[in-house]
Amino acid sequence: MSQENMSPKYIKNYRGDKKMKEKIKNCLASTALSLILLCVLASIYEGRYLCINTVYQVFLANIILHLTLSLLARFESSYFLVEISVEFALFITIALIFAAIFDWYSSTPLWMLLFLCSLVFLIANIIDLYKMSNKLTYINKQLKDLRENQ
Amino acid sequence: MIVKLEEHKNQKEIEVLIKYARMSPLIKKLEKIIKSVDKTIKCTLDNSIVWVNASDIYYIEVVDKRTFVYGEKLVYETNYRLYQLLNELSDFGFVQISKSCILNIHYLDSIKPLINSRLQATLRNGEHIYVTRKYVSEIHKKLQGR
Repeated sequence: MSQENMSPKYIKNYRGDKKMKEKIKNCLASTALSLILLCVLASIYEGRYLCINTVYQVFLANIILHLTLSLLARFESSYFLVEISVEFALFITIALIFAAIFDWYSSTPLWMLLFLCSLVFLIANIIDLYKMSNKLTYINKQLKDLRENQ
Repeated sequence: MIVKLEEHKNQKEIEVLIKYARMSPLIKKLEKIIKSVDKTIKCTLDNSIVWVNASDIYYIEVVDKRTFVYGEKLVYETNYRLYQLLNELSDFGFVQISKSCILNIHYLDSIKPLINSRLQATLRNGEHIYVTRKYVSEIHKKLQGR
């Protein structure tokens, strides 16, 4: 069914569903990234396995993080560094709260937890920057094609 | 595409008729573009009321809780809120580019990243405005949907 045949209300719900799907995808991606980096760090320290509880805990932490980031989206600063610092502070805060709730400190030193969170944050932002760059290239190409067609 | 103009001296209102064999996105796009010429927003300029065509608006910005409508050379003020204008004008090529600004995509020339990680949009009249990173996806989707 093409969009031209849909009612405006349906299109609004359709776009809302698309946004929700994207949020879920981002949450799953950050969970996967967190778990992979956790496994890499664990193997360096001769860890052999990852508890299933850890997987659920990390997933839950990522859900809460993404929900909080959605609320934070309303916050806008003219300084990019301020925005990124606020996001990073939120990231670390949520990680520390979950570490306290689920007693991650008994198996993971604080410095390692902070290092892991920083790494996840850095990689996630690099991926974001790469996607942004691709979008900008597409946007500028489309705008150039529009100008040439006029 | 064949474009014909017919003069009818008794015609009271401009009538545009699009003949097509089958409905397609191009026909919808034409319809939107033609309707946008007629779409007007009530604004004020020097204490007088002015009806500004949506197709003449470059961008709309909110500053100090006041909404300003920017044309090619003139700046108007309107009592509408930004979200109301976005609802009215999103079908006519308007897209939100920051918390306080919506832009007519037809007047966007290019977007480039700056050294301080901000994004600068250049409009066709040479003006520069800033785009928040969070809204780049909106511009991307708007252009994809063209």
